[in-house]
Amino acid sequence: MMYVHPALIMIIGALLAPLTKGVVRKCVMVATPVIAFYIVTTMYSMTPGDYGVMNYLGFELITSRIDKLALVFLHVFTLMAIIGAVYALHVEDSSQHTAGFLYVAGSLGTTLAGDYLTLFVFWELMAVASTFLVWARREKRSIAAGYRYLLMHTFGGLVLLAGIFLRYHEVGSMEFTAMLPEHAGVAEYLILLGFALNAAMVPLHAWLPDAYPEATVTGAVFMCAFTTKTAVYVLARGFAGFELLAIMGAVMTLYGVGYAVIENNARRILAYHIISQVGYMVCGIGIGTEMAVNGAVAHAYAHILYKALLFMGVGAVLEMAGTADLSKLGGLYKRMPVAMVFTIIGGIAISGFPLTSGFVSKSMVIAGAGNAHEIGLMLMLTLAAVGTFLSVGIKLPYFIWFGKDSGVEPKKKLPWNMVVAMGIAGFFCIFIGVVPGWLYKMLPFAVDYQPYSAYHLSETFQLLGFTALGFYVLRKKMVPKEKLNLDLDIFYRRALDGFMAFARNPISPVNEWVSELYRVVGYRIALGAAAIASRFDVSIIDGVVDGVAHKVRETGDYVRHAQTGKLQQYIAIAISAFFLLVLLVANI
Amino acid sequence: MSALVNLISYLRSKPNLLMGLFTLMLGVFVLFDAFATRHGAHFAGDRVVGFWAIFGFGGTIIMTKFMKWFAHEVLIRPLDFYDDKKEGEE
Amino acid sequence: MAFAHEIYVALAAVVFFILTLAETGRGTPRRFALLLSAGAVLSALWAFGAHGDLFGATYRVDAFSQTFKVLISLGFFIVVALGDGLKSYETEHEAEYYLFLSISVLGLTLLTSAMNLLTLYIALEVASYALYILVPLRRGDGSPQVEAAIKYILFGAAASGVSLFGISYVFGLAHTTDIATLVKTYPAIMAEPMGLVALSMMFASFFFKLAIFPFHVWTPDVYEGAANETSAIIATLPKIGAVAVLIRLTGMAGMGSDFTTLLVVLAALSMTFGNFAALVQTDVKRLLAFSSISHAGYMMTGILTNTITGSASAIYYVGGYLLMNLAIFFVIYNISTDSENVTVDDLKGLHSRSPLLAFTLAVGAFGLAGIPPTAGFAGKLFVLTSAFKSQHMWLVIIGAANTAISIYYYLKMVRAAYAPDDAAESAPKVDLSMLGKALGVAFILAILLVGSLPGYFMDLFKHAL
Repeated sequence: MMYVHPALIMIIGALLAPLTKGVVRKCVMVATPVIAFYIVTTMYSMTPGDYGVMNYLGFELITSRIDKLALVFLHVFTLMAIIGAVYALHVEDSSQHTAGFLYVAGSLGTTLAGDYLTLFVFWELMAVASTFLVWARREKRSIAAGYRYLLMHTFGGLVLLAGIFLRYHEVGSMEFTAMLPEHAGVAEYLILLGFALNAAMVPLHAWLPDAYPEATVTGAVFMCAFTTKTAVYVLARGFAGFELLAIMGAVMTLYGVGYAVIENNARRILAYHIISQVGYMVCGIGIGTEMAVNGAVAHAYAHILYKALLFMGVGAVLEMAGTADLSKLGGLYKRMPVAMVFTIIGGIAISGFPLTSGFVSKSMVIAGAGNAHEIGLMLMLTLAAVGTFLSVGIKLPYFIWFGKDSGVEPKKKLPWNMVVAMGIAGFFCIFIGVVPGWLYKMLPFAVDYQPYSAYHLSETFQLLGFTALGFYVLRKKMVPKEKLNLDLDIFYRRALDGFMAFARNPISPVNEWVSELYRVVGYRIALGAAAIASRFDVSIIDGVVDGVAHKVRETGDYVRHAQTGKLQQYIAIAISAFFLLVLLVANI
Repeated sequence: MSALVNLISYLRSKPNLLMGLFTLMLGVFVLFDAFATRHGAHFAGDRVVGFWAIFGFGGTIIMTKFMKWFAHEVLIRPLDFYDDKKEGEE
Repeated sequence: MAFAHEIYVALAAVVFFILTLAETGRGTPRRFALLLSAGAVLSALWAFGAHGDLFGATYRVDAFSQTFKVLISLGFFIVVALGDGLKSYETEHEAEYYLFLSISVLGLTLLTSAMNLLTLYIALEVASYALYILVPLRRGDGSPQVEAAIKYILFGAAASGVSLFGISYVFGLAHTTDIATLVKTYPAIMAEPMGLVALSMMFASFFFKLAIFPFHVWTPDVYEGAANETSAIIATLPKIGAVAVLIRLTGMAGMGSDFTTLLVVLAALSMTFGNFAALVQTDVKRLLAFSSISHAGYMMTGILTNTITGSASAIYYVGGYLLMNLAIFFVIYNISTDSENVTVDDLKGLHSRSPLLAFTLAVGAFGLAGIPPTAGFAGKLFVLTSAFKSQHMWLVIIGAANTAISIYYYLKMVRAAYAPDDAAESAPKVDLSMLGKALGVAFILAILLVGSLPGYFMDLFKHAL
């Protein structure tokens, strides 16, 4: 059978979306990810290895490197693409579909890339396409946030590219292989930095809670799945066993939940929880044992589905009620029960309730940390799990569906396709929890782990139960405030301001200031002279109109004269600068 | 769905019943922990009955108190804090 | 017939000359121009493999010159096709406009084949003077276009003067003006300080054409003052010629001389200065003017390596730049209803006024910013890799840092185009002719295809060297 790159299918789908209308487009939107998913399932029967190898300018490009690690990510990415496409089925704006599919294509291409150049190209495609998902919301805040998002990602991309080329210079190969911590130099750490930015590793995370809550309802569902998890995948492939990652990952888990506890906007809470959940994966990769990496991968799989479910549920609330601010919601259980049921399924999955996907994946990372005798990390991860249940499992549903009745009425009916998409995701959240072997079979290493042990169940029951008790005790304090919480995005916002000030003040004047000065002074003198002359003129000649016409021409001449004076200086400066440079160089 | 909505409405009208059930559940959890076999114990805490109960409750309280305090002291700004800064443009 | 293309372009100019004498209605000269410029592309392609010498080998047709001729005639066709007619010119000037444009194209065509410093100089002046005239012809009574024209011509004249002075020095030192001989003998002369000064002076007018620092000061004012369609020409066509000449002449400096250091410094300053100045611009043409200074720095980076790959990258770069810049000028031209200048704010809401134009702008800006898979990314990649291989580490770092800076202002345009704007929602949709639509789609496809399949083009350019 001929091998077709699944990213190609997504690209074709992306091109077809704006060209079709109505039912045909809906068919295209469902068929595209389904075909991609089918191709991925057929890959399981292919011999692991390199496919689609091309020679490109002397670089050997490996467009598809198929192995177990890549396959499990491809599996969940294409599954997620189906869910996302169904969820977005009712959206008329075709640019969103195109952007969404290109974004998925970028993610699939990155996952299959066997060399850095292919990886980089798809990596950037992801950044650009996802920006349009933010911009598509067409609100002032989202345009600004999307712009910052794109700037951050292209910056990260450049760091990555710099690392890639330094490494190419040192190693002489573009191949993307696992790196060893003890051999890592500047090149490797630059690459790591580029990956870390996409994985939203603290302190490079601020773009995520900045941009995701500003994306469209359907765009956020796509975004929550791909950027960070693709980064997790490349980290797992390239940087397993880097201790720095283990520590950073644990810090991320706590950082994310910390902010989630005080946030008010439901989608921002979920965005912070991406940081937290990705922290588990990064930590598992950093620990680097087979079990921990397995746990990280399993968690990525489970996380994509339940986080998408959460974003879909909250997105449904946003779609119907027009806001995702907890302070403006409350008591909606009677009016939006469907969204409630699915959000709560997502919420208990992310909290790791038994019989949900989070239980069987998160515990694998934590046990991986424990088995590697990283007790400190293990306790940090467990504490983060407490915070997760506190903010997503209890606080978020409590303030949307229970608590004080806000009286918010749904403005629209929930489109059927959104319910179907939530149903699919919800099914997998439970299914994986009940049949963990299905997921474990796909993991890159053989699994020797049983999540449903008596003690693990007891531990989970106690943690969850007493967290709920803690919430009950502090429920008055938990009421979210309508405030903005500073995060590290303040640095890049400020840096941008400062940078522009630098460009505006010492750099630009070389041209602008001089020419403004000339313009102002030149015109002033010209106008002054014209005014005097015209007074004189008026007093002598009766025809005012004639006089003015005459003056206008004269003024024009004068201004032109003043401007040519500037030109002499321009030329003099340019030529003397040139000779100065020649002399400087000649003396070197 | 309506059955679920009715159930929730019923429970919300009986807070004492809800609290009773909740307390009973917590008690069962700790009791269960006393009998659970500890296979995969990683450290000393794993051997203490009710350790994770204390960890969960304590963690919640400390995390919430700390973040609320930290937010109040450091992080909180008015919602339009960035708006007058022209959002990094120009 | 090796010289078919030159003869064709010269005949085209004659046709336009006849048109200036005839009384024609509005649009007739443009129809001719479309036809003749399309023919120029065909004749350039037809004469692609030609070889031959003329006038005692002072004029040579070879793979190198023919490659550039294809690029130039392609640019010629695109600038003619950009919009529906010359919005910024009076009907009576229409035929003249195309006359001078075709003469300029002829000059550039001759420039790429010139194998003698004097032929080169004459071709350069033919190309330049014809362009100078286009600037003040812009309709309207304001002084900007006249001011721009004066700046352009005086600056150009000064640069030419310096160049001519340099040529006479070179002749004095090497006793020949034949480029093929100079490339062999001049590197030895470079050891003398005078050799460096002479060569640097000679390069002045090509730096001027390419808008290399410090010969860049004219660009923003000229772009701003000239009509949109004329700015598009000034921004692209002469640069192709300049790159051709620079590649031909850089061999004179030999390897690793002080002259290379000078070029490195100029390239670095051009990139940095152009970028920083572009950051704060609001007029799109001024923004493009400053960004063109920065791009000139990248082209210079490829050229100064003086290797086959480096020069091929520079050709690739200038070709990609041609496409991407013209794509943005195409957008500017089509949204300025009354031939006025366009500011970044005018781009607001473009997405709802014309999705095709907005997307063309986005692809063009992404390309200029150097984001894959556009031609801009591949170009920057090649140029910087070749500089890297030639051990110009610092230049690579400065180039990479500048790429990061430039993203800011290019994306500012994209952002504006996709920003919601209440005023623009009600603003009339932009009507594109069939040719306009085809051109927009062609720009998008070309930028993406040239960017994703650069191997073919690089092989072609390497072969041409």
